[in-house]
Amino acid sequence: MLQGFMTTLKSILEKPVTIQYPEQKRPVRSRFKGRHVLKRYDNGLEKCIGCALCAAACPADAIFVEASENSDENRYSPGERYASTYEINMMRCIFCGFCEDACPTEAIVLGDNYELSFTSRTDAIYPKDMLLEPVPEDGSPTPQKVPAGAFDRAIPLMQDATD
Amino acid sequence: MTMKMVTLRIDEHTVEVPAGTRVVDAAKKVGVDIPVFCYHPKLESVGMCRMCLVEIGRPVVDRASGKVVLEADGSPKIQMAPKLETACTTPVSDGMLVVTTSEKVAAARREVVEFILTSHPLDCPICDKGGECPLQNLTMAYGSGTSRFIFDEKMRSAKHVPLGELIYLDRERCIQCGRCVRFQHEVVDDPVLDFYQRGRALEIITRSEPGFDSVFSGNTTDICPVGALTTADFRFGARPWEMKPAASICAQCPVGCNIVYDVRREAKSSGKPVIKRVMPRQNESVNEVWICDKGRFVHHYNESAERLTQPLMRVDGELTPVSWQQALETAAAKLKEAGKGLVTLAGGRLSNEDLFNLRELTRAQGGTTLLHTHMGGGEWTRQLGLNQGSNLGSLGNGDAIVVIASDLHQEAPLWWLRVKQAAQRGATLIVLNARPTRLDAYAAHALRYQPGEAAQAVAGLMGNHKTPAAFQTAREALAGAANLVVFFGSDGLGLTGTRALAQTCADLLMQSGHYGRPNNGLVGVWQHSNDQGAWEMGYAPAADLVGSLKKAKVALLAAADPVGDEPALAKALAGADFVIVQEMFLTASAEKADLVLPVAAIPEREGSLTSGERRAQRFYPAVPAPDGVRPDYTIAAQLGQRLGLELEGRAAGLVFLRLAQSEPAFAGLSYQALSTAEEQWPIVGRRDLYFGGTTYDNNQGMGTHLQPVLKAGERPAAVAAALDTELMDAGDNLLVLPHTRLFDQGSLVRFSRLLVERVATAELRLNPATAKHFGLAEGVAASLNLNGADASVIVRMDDALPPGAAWLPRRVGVPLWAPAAAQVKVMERD
Amino acid sequence: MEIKKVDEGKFVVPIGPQHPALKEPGHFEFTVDGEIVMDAKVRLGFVHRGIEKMAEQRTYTRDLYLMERVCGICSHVHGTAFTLGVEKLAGVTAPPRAQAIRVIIAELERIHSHLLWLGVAAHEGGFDTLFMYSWRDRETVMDLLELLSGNRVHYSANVLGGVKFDINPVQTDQIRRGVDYLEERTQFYQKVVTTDNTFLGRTRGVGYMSREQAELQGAVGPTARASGVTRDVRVDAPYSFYPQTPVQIVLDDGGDLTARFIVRIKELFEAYRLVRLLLDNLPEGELATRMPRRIPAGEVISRVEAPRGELMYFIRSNGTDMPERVKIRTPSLCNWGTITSTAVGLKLADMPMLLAGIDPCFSCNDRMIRVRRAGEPGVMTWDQIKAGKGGWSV
Repeated sequence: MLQGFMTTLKSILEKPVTIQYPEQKRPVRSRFKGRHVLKRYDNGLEKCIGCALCAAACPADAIFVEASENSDENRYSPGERYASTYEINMMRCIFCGFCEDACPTEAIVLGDNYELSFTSRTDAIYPKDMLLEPVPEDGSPTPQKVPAGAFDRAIPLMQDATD
Repeated sequence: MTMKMVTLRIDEHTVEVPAGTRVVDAAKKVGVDIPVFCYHPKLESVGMCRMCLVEIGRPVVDRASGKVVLEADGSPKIQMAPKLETACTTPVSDGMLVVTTSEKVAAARREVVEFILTSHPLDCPICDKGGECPLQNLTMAYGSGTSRFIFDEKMRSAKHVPLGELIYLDRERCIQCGRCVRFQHEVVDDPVLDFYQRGRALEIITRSEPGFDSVFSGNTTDICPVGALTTADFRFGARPWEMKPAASICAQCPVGCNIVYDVRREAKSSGKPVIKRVMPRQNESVNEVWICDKGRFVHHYNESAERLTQPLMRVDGELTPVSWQQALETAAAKLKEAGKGLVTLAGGRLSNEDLFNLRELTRAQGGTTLLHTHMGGGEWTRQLGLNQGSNLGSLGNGDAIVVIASDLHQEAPLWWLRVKQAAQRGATLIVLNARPTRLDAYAAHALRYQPGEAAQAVAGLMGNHKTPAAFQTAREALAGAANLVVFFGSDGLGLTGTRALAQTCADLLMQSGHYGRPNNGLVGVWQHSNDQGAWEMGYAPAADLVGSLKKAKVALLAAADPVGDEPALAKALAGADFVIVQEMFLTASAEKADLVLPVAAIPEREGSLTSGERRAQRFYPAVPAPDGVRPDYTIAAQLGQRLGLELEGRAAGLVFLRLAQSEPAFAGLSYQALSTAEEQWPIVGRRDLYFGGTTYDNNQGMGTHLQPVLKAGERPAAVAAALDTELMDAGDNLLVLPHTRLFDQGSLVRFSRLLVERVATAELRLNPATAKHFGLAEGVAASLNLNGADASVIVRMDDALPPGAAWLPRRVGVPLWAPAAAQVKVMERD
Repeated sequence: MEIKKVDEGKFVVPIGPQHPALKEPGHFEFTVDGEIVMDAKVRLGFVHRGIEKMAEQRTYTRDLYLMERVCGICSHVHGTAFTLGVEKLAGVTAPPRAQAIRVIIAELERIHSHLLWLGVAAHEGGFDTLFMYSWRDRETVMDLLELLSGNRVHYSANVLGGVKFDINPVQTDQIRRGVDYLEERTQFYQKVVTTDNTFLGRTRGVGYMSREQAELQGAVGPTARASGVTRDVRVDAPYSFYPQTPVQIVLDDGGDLTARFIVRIKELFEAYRLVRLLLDNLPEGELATRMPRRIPAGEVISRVEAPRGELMYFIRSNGTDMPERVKIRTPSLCNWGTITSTAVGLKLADMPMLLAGIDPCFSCNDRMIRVRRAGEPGVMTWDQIKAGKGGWSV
């Protein structure tokens, strides 16, 4: 009997294992695969070049990409091609991270956000403007008007072969 | 003709092929893939890329005795060559041993790939070829994975070079295999592409103005083994693996090229599947592996917002949307009322099934079926047309082809290509025309006649008409021909003229007995894809369309726009009590109609077309039809149902079965028969895209010829004697002759914005002497008074044209269909 | 709950498919005479998703992800079984480091699965404190798995030809610490399930299955080993990295529920040992080798030991990049058969514990088994399947 109370007493002094979600949030591990983010370069240009390799790699067919042609007057990303439509169906996505692996420009990254909820099936489709990260401080939003020939390569130059 | 056969060994296979076959083709025949970049089975081999290096051994021959030295076990002693040889340039020889799997060969391939990749940008993620790229595939299969090349020395070249408005060049990706250059020089003889400079600075350039001026330019993007050449139309449209291919038939001209519509859902069209690109589908009897630029780029019409999607009925003078139910009820009631007064005017764009159902519907009322065309003579192509087993690709030495009054290069580019190639293989080509055409260059006899005298020229060829001496030699050349195919067109001719011409051509064929057997007969270079099918089903143009329409109580116009074509027809049609129009768009006729029924476009439905060579071919649905439209055959069947007729309207295949039962020419044919495909050479479109380019393999049917109407030796039913001649003497006025241009201002072409620059405009071309006579100068705007209506044209001088007449394209906004005398005056400049 | 009268003094108590005790759908019919169960019937297949058919329309790479979704608890072993099979067909062997990482993940998964089961079983026995405790501690191993893979449930560790992620020294330390903590806790659980009288009262002697019975009814995994059957794929036919790190088989002769608890808890210790051993002897090298996209034609059977027992994959390739047939035989499906016989003679109230004792996985029952008797046709029509004729059970 006393022993039983002792156990209870000991447990009172223990740190609780539960947390008060959503006020408190549990930090995620660095390898955690949450909602996708489309990255930008420091100048604000989108890293995504609309190559649709993520869509090809996706085992769940969750990604839809449609590309268009860039011009120096209306530049979204370096090179000739950009994603004019980029949609991820979060209901189909299985967060495997294959899109990350397939991306030649490291444009798509699975982020930390796991709070995905929607009230309808169409809301589950995240368009490009929801996925794109905010414009960096010293960058400008896309499309940008850039000097001719400044961004004619879609895939950033690999300075170091081991990079 | 027996060919000398050669037996050789390729790896573990023993193969027997005709002498002269290249090693790479022999290997392909037994399923050994020798990788190639520069080699293409339709082009001469040049051995530029070195990818096809293999080890080749030949039997040792004793010099003294001339006998093959044998090994101890009795097999011939093989001496391997000290170095690797290119399989694409080496012809096979007896007893040869080809080794493609040795380490030496693998090393060579590895190093060739590594070398080619030194100047390649490797931007596969954004490259349109990525996924169907020979370089990509071969690098994956044979490349080393790493490069010893110093990265900083990589070539940096222009990535965005418009060769013309249709084709873009990426100089960085180009591996300089020269396939495009060789295609333009050898295959289509439009030498507008060339190499420029040399060594590392070598570039592909275009030498023409406007850039890449060739009607076959799109094919270079198919055979390009990398993504260097891309079409402006498809640029970044979709990745190859994302698209669903749908087999179809090109409906832009009577050749009937086999094509594939690549379809994908598109966000821009709010998620609807749309046609992303048109690719050729191999059919060695029709289009080989090529298509022309019209077929490739004219596919935007079915996405147009101008499409009609609801029946329209004239209520209080205004076209008002009504339900299909109401539209069909009204139409059926009017048809019933009309009885014999029903005139059905059908266009050559309709499929066999549409034409059949419309014919049955009209005949049941006692009405007349008319074909809307400016070209006659179908009663002859129907009887003397090509038969089963015909293939222009098999014509060669000893055969003859006559092309008369047709600029094939503009009217039916693939026929031009195949006639040209037949001539290059040794067939005697005789070209008759009033003006020079591109085919003259390959003709053994290029003959001229006075404008309008085409029929007389053919009669002269038979010796029935007084003609210059050149005709005599041509006649002699024709006499010994084993096979004879006659193409006749409407260059400078109208309905009467072509009818007379066709009859004379028929006489020519019957005189020499060149009909009723394969590779012999008469081919009409029609204006529409299925004119031949309409003729087969008994449709014919009215000699006096104005009169016929005037008499009509109810006019049913399907895929025909008489109002837009000719003001006189508009007036005639105004006399009809009720006009029903089946159309995709609100054409001029539809605007004047009492009832407009929206129809489905070819990529949205099933059906079959009969090509000018009398080959029936199936097309399959590629994209869903917009809500509210119906195929023509369904509409006809639904009208028939309300009139108590039992017409098949459920599926095109069922209509075709009825057609096969009712028409002897279609007897025994079915959709199953049309969809059989057989093994073709060269092998294209399989895993080894590198061999034949990105042309699609034909698994969906190569079509089949219609049954012969006349067997060899049989005489046609009746020969109308009268040879009407068309206007040839315009008196004091200018004789204006119509001709057909590939990119005209037709109702389907105008939706392809890319082609705007290539579309023909109202340009009056004439000899400077004639121009002087009429007081015209280069570039002036002139006013033509044609058949009582005024039209403005731009005058262009052309020394090559014979004096005495002027040429003006059809379908450029001027209602010119037959030779006409026009009053011409220079327009005052403002 | 509807009670159907079948015989004088006997009732059939149908339970499910939706029921409060077990969290997944399954239908049971217990014939009871008073409190005593006289007969038991099991009907499964309420979560049929057609995964095997789906696999035939996807490439091997995509199938891998599909297979991981056969089961939410043991996703990794499904992936491993499929990967090993495909690799065998393609004649590819994953590098040693990849093999070792596969085994580490598999053992961590086993820990997670057994702890989860311990909680569920305790909950069915009304021992919710143990449920809370074990699930709290299960968080530790789930954290470790998230640390490695980024995901708590579907680790996606495998790729064809290797694994996707590496284990670095920092993570090694964290795993060691986690395992140390868990080992200490597990010792406590072992004490509880073997000494706590109330708990023993619900488990000891309940659901006894003799060794012969277990073998006859084809029991696999811990359920079989608790009856003294020496059956463990890791020992019988070691795969992946198990040949280098031999597993000591855990057996118990008890045959009752207590034995099943003991076997699973002892297996936890064995898993801790294996994880430590592997972390100490992680081979260096590549994580993956190249795999061909098109797999050579052929057939293969791939077996692995899932937390619940032997998992078997049959894969037939026709030389394309999609399999022609994938057949999955899951361990739970084998163990269901033991329920019907062991239930007889027990009280109705023991049923939840008995069911929990085999660690049932309902999503594993997404497929059909057919006992083909002599003279029966091998092919069934769709109508026959729908009518449930011809010795098929779903």
